[in-house]
Amino acid sequence: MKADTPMIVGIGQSEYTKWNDPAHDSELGLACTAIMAAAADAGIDVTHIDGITSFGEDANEPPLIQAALGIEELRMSAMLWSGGGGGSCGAVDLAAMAVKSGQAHYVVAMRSLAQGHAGRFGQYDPNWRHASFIHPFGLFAAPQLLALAVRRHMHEYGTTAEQMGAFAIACRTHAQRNPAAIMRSRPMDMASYLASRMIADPFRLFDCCLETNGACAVIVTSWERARDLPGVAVPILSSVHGSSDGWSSGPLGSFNMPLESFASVGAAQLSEALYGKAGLSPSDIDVAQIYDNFTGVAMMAMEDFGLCERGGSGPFCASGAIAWPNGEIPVNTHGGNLSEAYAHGLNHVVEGVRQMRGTSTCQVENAALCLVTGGPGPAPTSALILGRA
Amino acid sequence: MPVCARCQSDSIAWVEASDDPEIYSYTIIHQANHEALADVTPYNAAIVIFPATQSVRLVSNIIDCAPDDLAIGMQLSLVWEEVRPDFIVPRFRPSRDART
Repeated sequence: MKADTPMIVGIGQSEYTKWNDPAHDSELGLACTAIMAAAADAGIDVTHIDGITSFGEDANEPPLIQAALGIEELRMSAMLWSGGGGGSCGAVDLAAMAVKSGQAHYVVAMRSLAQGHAGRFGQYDPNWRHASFIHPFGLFAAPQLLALAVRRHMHEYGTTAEQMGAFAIACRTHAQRNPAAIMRSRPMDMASYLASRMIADPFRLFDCCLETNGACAVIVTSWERARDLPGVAVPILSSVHGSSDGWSSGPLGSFNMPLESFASVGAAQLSEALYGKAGLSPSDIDVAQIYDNFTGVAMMAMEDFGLCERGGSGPFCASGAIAWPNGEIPVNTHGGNLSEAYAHGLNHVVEGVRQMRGTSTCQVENAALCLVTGGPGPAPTSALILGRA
Repeated sequence: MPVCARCQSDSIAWVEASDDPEIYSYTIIHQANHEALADVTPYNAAIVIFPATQSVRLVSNIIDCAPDDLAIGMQLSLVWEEVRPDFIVPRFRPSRDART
């Protein structure tokens, strides 16, 4: 490992509750809870955090967090542009850049969501991008928009509902072992998946991610500083964020993506950059946390990041390849956005760190490399490769 | 503002579209999340493509078509629908010789 490799030294999360739970904390309160937990995990004083990053139009501004936590000096703050979970790994990428450049020493990447307070996603919003071109036809919400991409994937490659069900069931099954998962104690089989009500055909209810109150935080520091901390540090071997030529916000409204890659998440260029920076290839990956806004979209992301061949994610999922413990590459070992919580995918980074520390509730034996991907659909999207602690 | 992503030109002109619209993809929406849609749910939304006009795409709805009959590649005819006197939208129906 190179001496300038940025390290994740602390992970934290709040309790996860359903979005309409009346008893939940404010978004700012949830953010502080997660950040304090991450600082405690790292073994640093929370007031020594000197950088804050986020994504997805997070409303919890760094100066408010600074005031709430008594941060002594804020040396950097940045938010990755993107309207959704595309920036989950990108916020970690920004934190890694900040510690590599020396701009800050302990940077926390965080995300907090409480839709009961801040407004529910997917509602009519005349100010939304592309609104004039899609709202008059009844398209507002992410499942409706992304169903159009997945329908195309089904047409081109023969992907089926049962194959998408295999992805959802893998996530749900993994969540049964995770005490923090919202869907714990609610196992699911194919019959109950297929019986769930249609939301936006081909997406049923259980193809769709949860809506959750909750927050996650991860603390990034330099390799040198990590050596002096008591906790278990996980190296960030590669981190990227970006948007491919012609993709932009396409899947969320313009639909002007190149036709040859329409039934994908447009991350082929990003994937090449991700593996190239680390000198690795997809076949090296042992376990993956794939941002799952919707089953079929996460499956297209698995193809873009090379876990299976183009168009082959359906048979791959149905074969059991993504199921812990015996699958060749277990995916979403925490339960994902579908069955753990919708922490906008920063929970996938937290789970990636657990896998590399050997502390997941679905631990992959001898896992040495973990792929984590950001939200597919919104641009920019992002990804990480984490190495064993 | 540039309208061409290849040459950054801001010069635009009307071009008559080819008469070949077809369904590129579609979804059937079963959960209305706006009160104005409650009475028409389930309803469809589709990406309509004009292959001979540089594959220009529009989001629209397919009218006069049962949900089970919707299919990618279905050939369409344009219908201008007046939602209100000051609000006219392009919708599509299966063309008479539609292949399904």
